[in-house]
Amino acid sequence: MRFVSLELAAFGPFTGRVIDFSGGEPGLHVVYGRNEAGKSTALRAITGLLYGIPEKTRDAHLHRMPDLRIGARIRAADGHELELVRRKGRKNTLLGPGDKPLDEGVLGRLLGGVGEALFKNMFGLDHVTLREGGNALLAGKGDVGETLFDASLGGRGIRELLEALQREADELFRPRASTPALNAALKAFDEARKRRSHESLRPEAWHDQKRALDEAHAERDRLAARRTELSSEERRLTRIQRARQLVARRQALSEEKRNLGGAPLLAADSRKRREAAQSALADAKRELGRRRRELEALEQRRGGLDVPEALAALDEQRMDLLRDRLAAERKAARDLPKRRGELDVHEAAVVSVLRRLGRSHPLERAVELVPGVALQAKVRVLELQHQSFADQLRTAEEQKRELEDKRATTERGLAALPAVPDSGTLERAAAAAQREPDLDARLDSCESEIEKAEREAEQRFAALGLWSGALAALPALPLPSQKSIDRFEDRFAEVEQGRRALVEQREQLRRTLDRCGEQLDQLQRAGAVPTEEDLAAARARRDEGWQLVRRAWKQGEDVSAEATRFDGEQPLDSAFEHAQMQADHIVDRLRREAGRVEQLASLGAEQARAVQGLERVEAELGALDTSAQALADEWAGAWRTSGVDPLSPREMRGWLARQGELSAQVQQLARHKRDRDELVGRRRLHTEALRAALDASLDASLAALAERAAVEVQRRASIQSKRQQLDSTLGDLSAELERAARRVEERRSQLEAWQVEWAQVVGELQLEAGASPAEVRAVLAELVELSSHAEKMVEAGRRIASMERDTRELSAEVGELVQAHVPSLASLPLLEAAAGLLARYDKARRDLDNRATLERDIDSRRNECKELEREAEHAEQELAGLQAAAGAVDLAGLEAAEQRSEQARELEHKLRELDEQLLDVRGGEPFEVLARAVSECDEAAAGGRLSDIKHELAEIEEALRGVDQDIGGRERGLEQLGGSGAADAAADAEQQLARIEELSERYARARLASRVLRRELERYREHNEGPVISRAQELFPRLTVGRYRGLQVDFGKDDEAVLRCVRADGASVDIEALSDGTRDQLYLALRVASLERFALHNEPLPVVLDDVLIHFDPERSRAALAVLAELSRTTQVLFFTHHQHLVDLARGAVDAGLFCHELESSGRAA
Amino acid sequence: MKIVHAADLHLDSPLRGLERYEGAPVEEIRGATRRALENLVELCVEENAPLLLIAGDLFDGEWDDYSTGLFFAAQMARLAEAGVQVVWVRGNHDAASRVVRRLRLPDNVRELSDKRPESVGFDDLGVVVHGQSFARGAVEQDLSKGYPPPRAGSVNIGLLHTSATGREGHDVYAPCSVEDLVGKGYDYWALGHVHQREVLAREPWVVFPGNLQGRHARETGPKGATLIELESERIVSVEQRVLDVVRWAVSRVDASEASSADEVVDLARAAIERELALAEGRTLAVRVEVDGMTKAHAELAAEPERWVHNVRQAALELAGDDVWVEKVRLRTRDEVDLVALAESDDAVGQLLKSLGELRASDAELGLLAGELSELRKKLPRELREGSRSLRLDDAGRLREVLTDVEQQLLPRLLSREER
Repeated sequence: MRFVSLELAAFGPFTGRVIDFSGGEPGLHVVYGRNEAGKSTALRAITGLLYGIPEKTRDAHLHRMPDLRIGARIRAADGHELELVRRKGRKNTLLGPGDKPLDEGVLGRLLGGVGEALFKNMFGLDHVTLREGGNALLAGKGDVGETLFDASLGGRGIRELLEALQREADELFRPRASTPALNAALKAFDEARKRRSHESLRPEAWHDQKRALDEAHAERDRLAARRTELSSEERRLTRIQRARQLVARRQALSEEKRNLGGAPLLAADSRKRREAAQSALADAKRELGRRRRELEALEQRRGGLDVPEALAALDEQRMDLLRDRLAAERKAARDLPKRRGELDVHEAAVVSVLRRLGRSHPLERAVELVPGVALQAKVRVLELQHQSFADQLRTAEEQKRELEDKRATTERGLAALPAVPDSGTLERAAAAAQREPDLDARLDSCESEIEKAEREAEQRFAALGLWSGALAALPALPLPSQKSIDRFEDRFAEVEQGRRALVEQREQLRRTLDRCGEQLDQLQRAGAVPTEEDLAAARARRDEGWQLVRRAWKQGEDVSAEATRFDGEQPLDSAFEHAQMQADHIVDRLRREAGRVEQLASLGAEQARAVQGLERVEAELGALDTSAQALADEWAGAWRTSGVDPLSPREMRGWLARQGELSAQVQQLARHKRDRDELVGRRRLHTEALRAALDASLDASLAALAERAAVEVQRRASIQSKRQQLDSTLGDLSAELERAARRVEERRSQLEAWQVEWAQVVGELQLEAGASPAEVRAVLAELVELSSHAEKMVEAGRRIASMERDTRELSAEVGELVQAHVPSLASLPLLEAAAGLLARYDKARRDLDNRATLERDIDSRRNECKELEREAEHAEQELAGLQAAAGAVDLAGLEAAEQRSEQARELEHKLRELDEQLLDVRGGEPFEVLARAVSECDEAAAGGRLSDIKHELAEIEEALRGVDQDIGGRERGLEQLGGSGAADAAADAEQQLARIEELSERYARARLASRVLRRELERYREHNEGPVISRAQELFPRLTVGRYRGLQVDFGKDDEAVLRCVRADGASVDIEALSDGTRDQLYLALRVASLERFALHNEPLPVVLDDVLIHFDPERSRAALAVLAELSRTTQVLFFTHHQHLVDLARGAVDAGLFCHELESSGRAA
Repeated sequence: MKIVHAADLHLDSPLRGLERYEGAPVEEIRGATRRALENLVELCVEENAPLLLIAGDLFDGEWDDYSTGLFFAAQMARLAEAGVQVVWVRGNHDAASRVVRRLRLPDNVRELSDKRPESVGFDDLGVVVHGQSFARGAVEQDLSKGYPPPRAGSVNIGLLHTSATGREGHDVYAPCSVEDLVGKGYDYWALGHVHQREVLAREPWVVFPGNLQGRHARETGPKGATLIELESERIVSVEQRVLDVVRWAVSRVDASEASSADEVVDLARAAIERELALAEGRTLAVRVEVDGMTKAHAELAAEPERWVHNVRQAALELAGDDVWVEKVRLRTRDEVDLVALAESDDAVGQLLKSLGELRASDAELGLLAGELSELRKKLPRELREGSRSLRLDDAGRLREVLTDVEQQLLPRLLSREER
C-alpha cells in the first residue's frame, strides 16, 4: 500500500493542504517542513488517518475537535485505489467518498493487519529510535537473535523486556531466598498454620480443666459451710458477754421497786394543781376587800348631787340656735351706724350724675337708664372698625395709582424698540457653513495630494514599460491571472526540469557509450575476441564444406565449381578440414577466453542499450523542444489581448504585481479628484446661501460671510428677547391693575355698610343722629357710673331693714324662756338676760351627766365583788378534791403523798430503758432464758472461746480467697478455651494461601513469558539470520562510506550467535567498539534489511522517516539517502525533515525517483 | 407455630481466597461462621420457634479445635433458655470430626442415631422428626429408604444429609431420588449437604436451605436458613431467612467500551457499588472479573498490579471496611487482530505462530512445566494436590497461562510511548 496523496483538510495549523505523493512507483518522497511543528503534525496526520485521531489530540488548536479532517488517496499493491477521509470522533470516523462511513476493515486489509503500535514501531523511524536501536545493539552485545528481533520490530530493546520479565520473576520467587514476595508468603503461611495448630484446643484439655474447676467449687462450698457454723457460735457468745452487765442492773432495779412498796401513784400534775389553787384563793380574798371600799365612796358622791330637771330638759338644738342669734344680735348692734352712712353717700352720687346728663328721673328708677351690655359691646366694635376701614380704603387707592404709573412707563419702552426681519434662512445657512469649518483647508490639502500622486503615477508608469497606452487605461487591461502565471511557471519549470534530466541522462549515456567503446577497444587491442557470430559463421562454412564433400563423396557429384567458390586457394578436402579446424578453434577459444567473451558480450549489450537510450533521449529531447515551443506560444497568446509582449513568467509575475500596484494608485487618484470636485461644489453652495440671507451684493470669502452671519444672528436674537421680556411685563402689570381697582371698590362698600350700622346704634342710645363715636363714648361712661351708685344705694337700704327685724324676734323668744325658767332674770336688758339664761342651762346639763356616770361605776363595782367571791369558792373546792385523791386529811398530808408518787414513777422509767437495751441482746429469747444463759456461762471461758473462733474464721477467709482466685482463673481459662484463636489463625493461613496462589500465577506468567521470548529470539535468528544479515552486510559498508567492509556472525563465550563488524582493514570488532554514529548506521542497515524482508512476504507499507539523519555527517547522509532511495523501489518512503540541507543533499545523492515537497501552513507544497 | 431448618454450618471453617491487602477489612470477616450461627439462634428466639432442625455438617471434617464445639454448645444453651428444642443428624463432615465425638451438648439438643433411622415425636407440637446420622465420612447407600412410614395425625419431617441426585461441586453421599422422597408421604424433607439453596419439590416440600455463610467466591448470594410455618398441623409457608454476615459476589466488568485503564477502574467501582447495594450493609467479599476486547488492555497489561491496587483503592473509598476485593481478574484482550498478526511474517507474527505451536504440543508444554518445578516443590500441599491445586504441571493449565502470557507480551512488544 502507498499514499497517492495526503490531504491535511483541517488538522493542526493546516487547512486544505494537499501533498501529492503520486510521483514514483513507489518512490522516495522528501517532505520539507520549515518548522518542526508543521512536520510533526503531518507525521501525526498519517497515523491519525490510518488508525484514528487520538481522543486527546494537540492538533485541534486552529480547528475545533469535531471539525478535524485528514484525507488521503491510497493505492494497494494490486493497483486498487481507495479514497478516504478520517474525522475526529468516537464512531464511524472513517469516511469514504461522499462522506459515507467506511468499514475500518477495508483499510485494515490494505494495511495487512498491521496495528497502530506495530505500524509506528516498524514503519516509523526517527533519530531517537535510531539511537535507541543502536543502544539496544550495545546492550545485547550483538546477540544476533535480539538484534534481528529488535530491528524487525523497531522495538525499544527486547533485552529491556527480557530483563524486566526476569526481574519480575525474581522479585516474586527465588528457590533459596526468603525476601521475595512469594517466599515471604510461603513462610507466613507456615507460621499461620503452626499458630493454628498451637491455638487449637484438644477436647481432653478442656475436660481436665473443667474437672479441676468442679473440684475447686466443691472446696469452696465446704469452707463456706464451716464459716457459717463458726459465725453463729461467735454471735451467741458475744451476745452473752454483752448481756451480762444489763441483767445485773435490771435485777437491782427490781429490788428497789419492791422496797418502795405499794405507794399510790398520783396524777403527774397533782403538785402543780395544788400550788395553783392555794395561790388563787389568796388573791381573790385580797381583791374583794379593795372593791367593797370603793363602792362605799361612789354611793356617797351620788347622794350629794341636785339637778333642775325642767331646765335641763330643754331642747338642746333650740338653745344652740339661741346662742347663735345672740352673737348675731351683738354684731348687728355694732354694724348698724356704718350702713346708714353708706346709704347717704350713694344717694348723693346718683343725684349728681343725673344732673350732669341733664335728665330728670326718679332716684329709685335711675338704674333703668343704663344701656345693656350687648349694646355697649357693639358700640366698642363699631368704633374700632371705623378706623380700620378708613385706612384700608386709603391704601388700596394708593396702590392703584402706582400701578397705573408703571404701565405707562413700560408702554413707552416697547414703542421705542426697532423692528427685526425673520432670521430663519440666515440661521440655517450659517449653521450649514459652520458644520464644515475647514472646507477651504481640506480643499487645499486635497489639491496638493492630487498633484503629488499624479506626479508619482506618471513616474511609475514610465518605469513599468512593456505597454504603451494611456495611464488611465492601465487598470482595465485584460491580463492573465496570477494563478495562470503560476501554472505557466510550473509548466516551464517542468519542461526545464525534464530537459535537465534528459540532458543529464544523455550525458550519462554518452559517458557510458564512451566507456564501452574504450573498453571494447582495449579488449580488441588485446587480441580479437571470438564471438558467437564468429563461431556461427565458422560452423556455417564448415557445414557448407561438408555438404560439398558429402555430395562429391556420396553422390559423386561434381562440385568443383562450387568448391572453387568455397575456397579458391586449396582443394575441397583441405578446405573443409581447414573450415572444420577453424570452427573447432573458435569453440576452443570461446571456451578458453570465456571471460573476455562474456565481457565483450556484456560491453556490446551495454553499448547497444546506451545507443538505444541515447536515441530515445534525443527523441524525447526533440519532443520536449516542440512542447516547449508550444508552451512559449501559448504563453505569448495569453498576453496578446492586452497588447503586452511578455517576458518569462517569473518576471511577468513581478510586472503583474507592479501593474497591480500602479492600477490601484491610478484608481486612488481618480477617487481623490472626485473628492476635490465635491468639496468645491459644497463651498459654492454655502457661499450662495449665506449671501442670499445677508445681502446679495456682498462679495466676501465663505469664512468672512459665515462670521458676519453669526454676528447678525446674535444681534437679532438679542432684540427679540428684549421685546418678549417687555411684552410679558406689560401683561403682568395690566392684570395687577385690574386687581387693585377691584380692591378699592371692595373697601369703599365696606365703609358704607359700617355707617348704616352706626346710625342704628346711635338711635338706640337716644342720641342725636349725627353723633360721632367720641361723643357716644362720653355719654356711655356717665351712664356706667350712674349704674354703679344706684345699685349700691338700694343694697344699703335693704340691709338696715333686715337688722331691725332680727332684734325684734330675739327679744320675744328670750322673754318667753326667762319667764318660764329663771324669772329672776326678767328684769335685765335683753343681751344680759339671754346670757344668764344660757349659763344656767349649761350647768343643769353638766350635773345630769355626772350623776349618770356615778351610777354606772357603782353597778360595775358590785358585779366585780360577786365574781371574786365565786373564784375563792372554786379554789377551796380544788384543794379539797386533791386531798381526797391522795387520801390526805390536810394539805401537809397531800404534799407527802405527792413526793412518794414521783419516786415510784422514776423507777419505772429506768426499768423500761434497761429492758429496751436487753431486747437487743436477747434477740427474742425471754429474759429468764437469757438470764439463765448468762448465769450458766463462765465469763473467762467465753472470752477464750471467742478469740479461738475469730482466729479460725480468719483462716477460713484466707482459704476462701485462695479458692475463689483459683476458680476465677480456671473459669477465665475455660472461657479462653472457647475462643476463636485457632479459627482466626486458620483465616490468616487462608489469606496467605490466597496470596501464594495469586503470586504463583504472576510468577508463572513472568517466568513463562521470559522463557517463551528467549526461545522465540533463537528461532527468529535461525529463520532470518541469513537473508537479513547478508542484505545488511551490503548496506553497512555503503552507509559507513567504506569504513567497514561488512558483518560477520560469530559465536560468543556461551555459544550464542554474536554479530561483529569487519573493518576496511579486515579486522573484526565487537559492537561495543563502534562509535555511536556507526552503531546508528548498523542499526539502520538492519532496519532497512528487515523492512525489505517484510515487504517480500507482506503487503509493503509506507516507511515514515522523521529527520532520521540529523546525527549523520553530509557524506554518510548522502549514502543513507541513496540507500533509502533504493528501499523506495520496494516500498514507498516518506522522508520528513526540517533541514533544508538534507533536501539539497537528497537532490545531489538520488538520480531518479526523488520527489521533494514543501510543507507550509500557508502557501503550497511544491 | 414455626420451625427453623438449617444445614452446613461448617463452623470456624475459614473464608477462602481472601488475599490480605492494605485496608482489607480483616477484622470484619473474622468469625463470620460464628456470627451467622448467632444470627440463626436469634432467628429462632425472635420467631418464637420451638424447634430447630440441623441437617448435618455442623463442623468441618478435619477441624479439630474443641473451642468450636464449646461455642456451638454455648449457642445451644442459649436456645435451651429460650425453650427451643434442637434435632440434628451428623453429615459426612461431622462423622469424621474429632470435635463432635467428644462434644457434650445441652439437653435440648437431640442427635439422631447413626445405627438406624430414629423418630422423635413432639406431641405438644404435633410434629414427628425422622432421621439418621452418618456413621462414617462416606455413606454411599440411600439412607432415606430405611426411614419409617409417616405417623398419622402428625406433621412428619425427614431430616437427611444427602447429595440427592448429585450436585456439581459436592461429593456424592447418601444419594436418593426426589421421587422416592416425595413418595415417602412426609410433609417436609429437611435436607443438608448442598450449599446452594434449592427447593427440589413443593408437594411435599423437599428443601436444601444452603449453608449459613458463604465461604468462597463460588458460594455467592444471600445465605441463611429456612423458616417453616405451620398452622393447625399443616405447613402454610416456607421461606428463606438471610443470616450471613459476609456476602460473596462475583462481579463481571465488560471493559470493551473503556478507552483507558482509569475508565476500567471506574467501571469496576460501579460494579462493586451495585454489589454493595445487594449486600444490604453486610461486609462484601467480591471478585471482580474484567474482560472484553479493549483499548485499555495495553495499559492494564503493562502494570496489572497497579490497576488491581487501584480497583481495591476505589472499593476502599466507596465502602471502607464494608468491602474486601477478593481478586481482580484482568482477562482483557488487546484490540489487535491476533489472526492477522499471526499471519504476517514479522517478528510478532512469528512469535504468535510459535506460541500457537507451543500450546499445541504437550511435549513442549512439559518442558515449560520444568521452569516452574522449583516453585511447585515449595508450594503448600493444598496448592499442590486436590481441588485447590494450582496444577502448574498440567498441560491445560499451562495453555491458559500461555494465553495470558500472549496477551501480556503483545502490548509490551508493540507499544512505544508517544513522544
